[in-house]
Amino acid sequence: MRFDAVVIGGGLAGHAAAISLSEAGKSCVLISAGQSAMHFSSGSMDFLHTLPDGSPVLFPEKSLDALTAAAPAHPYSVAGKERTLAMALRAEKAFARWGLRTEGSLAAGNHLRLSPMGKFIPTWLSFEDSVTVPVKDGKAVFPWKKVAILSVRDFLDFSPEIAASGPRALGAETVIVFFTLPALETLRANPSEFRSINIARILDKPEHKPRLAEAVREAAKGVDAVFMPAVLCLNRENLLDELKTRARKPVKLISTMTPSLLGARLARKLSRIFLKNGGVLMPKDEVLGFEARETADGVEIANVRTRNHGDIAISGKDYVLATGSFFGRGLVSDRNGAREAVFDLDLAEPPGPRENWSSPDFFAPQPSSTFGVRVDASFGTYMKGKPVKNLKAAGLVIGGFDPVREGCGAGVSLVSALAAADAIAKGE
Amino acid sequence: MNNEKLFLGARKRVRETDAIIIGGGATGAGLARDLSRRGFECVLFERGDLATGATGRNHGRRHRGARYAVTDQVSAEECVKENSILRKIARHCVEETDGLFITLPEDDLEYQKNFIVACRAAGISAEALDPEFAKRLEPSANQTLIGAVKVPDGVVDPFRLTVANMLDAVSHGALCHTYCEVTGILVENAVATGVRVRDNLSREEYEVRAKVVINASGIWGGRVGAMAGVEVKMFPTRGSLLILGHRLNRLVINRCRKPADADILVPGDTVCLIGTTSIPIKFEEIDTTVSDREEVDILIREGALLCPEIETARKIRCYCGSRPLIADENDKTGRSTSRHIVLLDHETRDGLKGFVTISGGKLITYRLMAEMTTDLVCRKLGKNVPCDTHSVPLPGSHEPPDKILRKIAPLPPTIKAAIVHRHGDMATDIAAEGASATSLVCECELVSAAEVEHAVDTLAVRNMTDLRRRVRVGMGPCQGELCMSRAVGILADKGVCPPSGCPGELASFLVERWKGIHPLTWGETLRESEFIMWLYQGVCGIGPSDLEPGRVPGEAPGEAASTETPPGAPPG
Repeated sequence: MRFDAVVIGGGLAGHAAAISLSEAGKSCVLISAGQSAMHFSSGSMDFLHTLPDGSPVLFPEKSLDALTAAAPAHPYSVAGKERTLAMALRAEKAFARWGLRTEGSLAAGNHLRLSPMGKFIPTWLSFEDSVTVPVKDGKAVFPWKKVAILSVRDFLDFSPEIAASGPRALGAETVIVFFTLPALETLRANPSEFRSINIARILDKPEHKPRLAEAVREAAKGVDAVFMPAVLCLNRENLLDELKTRARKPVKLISTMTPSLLGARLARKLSRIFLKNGGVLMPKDEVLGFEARETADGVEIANVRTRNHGDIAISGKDYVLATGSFFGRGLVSDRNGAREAVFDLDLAEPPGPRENWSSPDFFAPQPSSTFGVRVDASFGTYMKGKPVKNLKAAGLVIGGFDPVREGCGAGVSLVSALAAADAIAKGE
Repeated sequence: MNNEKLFLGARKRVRETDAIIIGGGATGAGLARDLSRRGFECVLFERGDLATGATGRNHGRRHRGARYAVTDQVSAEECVKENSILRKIARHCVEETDGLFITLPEDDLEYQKNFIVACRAAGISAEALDPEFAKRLEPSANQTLIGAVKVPDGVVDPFRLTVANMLDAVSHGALCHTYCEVTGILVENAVATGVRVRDNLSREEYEVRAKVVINASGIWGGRVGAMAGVEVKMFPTRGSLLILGHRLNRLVINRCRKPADADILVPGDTVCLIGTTSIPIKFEEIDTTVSDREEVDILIREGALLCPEIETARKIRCYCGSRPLIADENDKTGRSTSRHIVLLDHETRDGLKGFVTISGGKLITYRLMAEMTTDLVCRKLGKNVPCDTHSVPLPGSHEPPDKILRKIAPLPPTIKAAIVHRHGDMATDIAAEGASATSLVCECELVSAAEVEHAVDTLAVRNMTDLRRRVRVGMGPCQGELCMSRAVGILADKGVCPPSGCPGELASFLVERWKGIHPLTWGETLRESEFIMWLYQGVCGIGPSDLEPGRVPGEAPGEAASTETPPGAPPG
């Protein structure tokens, strides 16, 4: 099988790269192992919320120079400020073009999302239907005086009490209300099935809309907004608009514990966009091996083989590796070392002895979080010191940054994916 | 006997009592039970939660005397006797597994002969198996074995055992004050008359008087002795264990040789663990000591000789404890040290009346240690009441599981079996109706919301880590990924912590768990830890600022910063 571009990894970075390449007219295949980090995410996308020294970031654009000084190996630093910001802007526009209704922009600076633990966390892009709070003059401005949190009774992956502590800390009054439906009770009777996505499959059904709308309308009485855990609007995004119209108040979602409905919804939409663009998706497949050839000035990938396709090699003019970090199995490790899983690409930093991989302090920077492959300014990769001419890396498989502590996982994924796609499209 | 509502959480204060017990391990709880059953008033003070010291940390779960048959006949006999008692009085805390002592090509088969003779002399039925048969009996055992001996063996849950003893004690009038730290012993005219206590939750300090003060604080016994002005020399050695992500073995697998590092693999609940190491540590380190990577490597290397799958199986956590051994200056390895029970009457030993130290021994002999100590208290206070703790079952063990299962209202069979497994006949106190009875908090260990609520209501749960000890939330293969957020929600609903304090609870729990995970950060364990960080630091936004400054609430409050040189610190 021959394609212009082969994208390995079906997370945020892989999808963004694949869609961009297909938009650029490339025939593109996306080889995806299945669920990705998106399914365990908040549903918002962060760009940068903390510098390596721990200082908070309000305006990521303004902090990029400081980041480059503190972390020259960070992908933003390697790509350079100009390219990084250009790609971020491109991502914002792409999201709008793809019909993903988000709010927030780098120009406006970070806004805050409400976490299931009642924390307000700075982020870049959030879905319009999730609870967000603007920052003005360095302070969170909670837009409502009194909000109701309407939760599903006996749903354990979201505690309205704990979530409410966030708005309360910002001076808002909160009311907590529960509702249930006979169909939810039936689902709950199976003890391990009462999870966000399964609940949404029920709540999204048209036959339950009247009861749901009634519950929202009741909850909306005497408050300025209604917050719900993200356990609805998986397939029917306009459901929330309908509820909003009935209640005549804003109705917003708060992310729950895993699985993340907002993240799963994003993953699903990106797959649809890619397929609509004529892309080929190889779901639940995995690259097992590859062939490469040496050229005068580096290495070239000739083809890859996957589990599902056995002897049939998949070849492309260009490749994008977006397999994630350890959790996504883009990186693998044992007691003796860590390496990139598919091509054994060069790492940004050698992992060194195992005793240096983690810190005994849970909240301290964990060196293993920054493991990943070495890239150049257009996210090209290296094998045994030689550049791999037709293989770019995107997302968490790249080394040199800490997606959780720096709050930049989604940003690096989108910037690297769009930069890689851009370079391929331009034939760089 | 019926279990009318047993409740551990009362914090009723008294000014005086008959006996004060310092230390809430198995021995302290067993002592509270024995003393209260024999008609003494008593108060137990524990600076953290129950079973936080060696009881819950050192060789946590097991075992029969066979391991000591060759090297220590006295201990072996005590173990055999106490084991048969535990099977009767604590059946919900004990799992019968049987054990296999295997001889590998590099070991001496002569040892196996001596081992069988010694076992039989100690009253342990030991049966040499045909090696081929042994391999089929325990397929996870190293298949190169050249000899195998089967012995009766079992696994003990130290948390359940300690709580059951404490519950019985409380129902007989004992007071259980966890998170209350003894900061001084009151001594007047060569008589110990009471203790000074600090409530580590409210920070209040007060004094309680007693006729007898009993030092049952395990490895901390040296420090408590020093408060009374007597020298109790402890020789702390760190023992590390490694928990593997699922049950690899059916039988306890031991190496048939002189006890050494990592020569026992014990199955328990949904996991199994390999132990232990023996590393002498300084007395100052007993509150802070943690397993290091070198020990982890030893545990994996030696453990893989017992069961090769250990090399590749997912490691979920390692932990360590300090063996409460009274130092034997002639031996520095801590291995050949006799682990006999040591009961010190400081009146005859040091001329200090009203002060007693109980130490040494093993988890399995906790009851005997309590009986010996209570006998001494009887003699001192002129009371002559016989001990009955060897014949009266503990709360939870009055009825066999099949009988209890029939009494519980319709619940999914898996949940029902899990609560009976963990609580014995006390499972009937857990709500069997309503949504919480069938809502799972922990999917690995099948812990329902109702079981968590029950633990919070009756078993003195002050934080997430206490909850883990009571109902195993966060102890199974996922190590809390899903369940810690669910459990903390219930703690908030129950008022154990305010909703705004929940991030702090989670932060403490994560910090505590990480101590055992970070030496294992490679392979699957690294993947899991990355996921935990994404979820709790990333999605939830839990951070270091959520930790209460200066103290980790999920921990035994380590007011370890006693700066004076502790007594019993090994020379050098």
